[in-house]
Amino acid sequence: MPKLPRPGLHRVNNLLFALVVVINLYVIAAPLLPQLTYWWDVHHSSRRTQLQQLIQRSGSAVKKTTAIAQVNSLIIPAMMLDQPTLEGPESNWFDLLYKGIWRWPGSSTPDKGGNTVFLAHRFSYTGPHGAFYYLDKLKTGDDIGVIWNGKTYTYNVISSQTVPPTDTAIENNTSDAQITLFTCTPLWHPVNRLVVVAKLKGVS
Amino acid sequence: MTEKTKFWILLALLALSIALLAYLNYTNERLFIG
Repeated sequence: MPKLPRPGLHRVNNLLFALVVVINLYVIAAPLLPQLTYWWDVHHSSRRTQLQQLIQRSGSAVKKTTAIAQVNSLIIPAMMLDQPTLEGPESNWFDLLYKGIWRWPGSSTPDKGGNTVFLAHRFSYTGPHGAFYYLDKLKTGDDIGVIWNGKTYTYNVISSQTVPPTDTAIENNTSDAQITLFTCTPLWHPVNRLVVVAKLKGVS
Repeated sequence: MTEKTKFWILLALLALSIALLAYLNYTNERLFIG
């Protein structure tokens, strides 16, 4: 007489199968979910316009009207980004990047001119989506605002490119005032860096 | 295929899926600096 399968094991197998499917769907779909938020913001909110207006005001006006002016921050209308920047040594890089946008400690600052480098995560499965998730949305000519010590520095994007992590020239200082933003790319297996460079347009 | 064989195959697939998720998260968070 053939041995009948145990009904309990059949249920366990169904559960295991469901778990395998859910985990793999999450692996594939999770990096794309923030795209839905972006699509929604572009079509159903005026956040981009509000941020554009924010960086076009004078530094003193920003200081009087918004709380964000009290800390150094980065405003990028094309990315719907308005977030404080963090300072800290390289030894704390993991914690700083987990919290948000980090100014590379070896780089300049907007008030000193030269090359100011900001970096942030793009995506992680265990954390929130990174501040620079939408860095690939930036195009030549887009505005970037940096609020630094109460002044607003406005920059224009001049280039966006992908480089290998060994290309550390992106962090070098420059004679012109510029900012360099970089994050990891592509989304699922980030082996390269997505680098955006913007030149100073004005200070207010 | 017996239920017992299916169980071990699914368990192995589950372990592989979790390992893949952990590896991809590691590359996103730790290999960032390059």
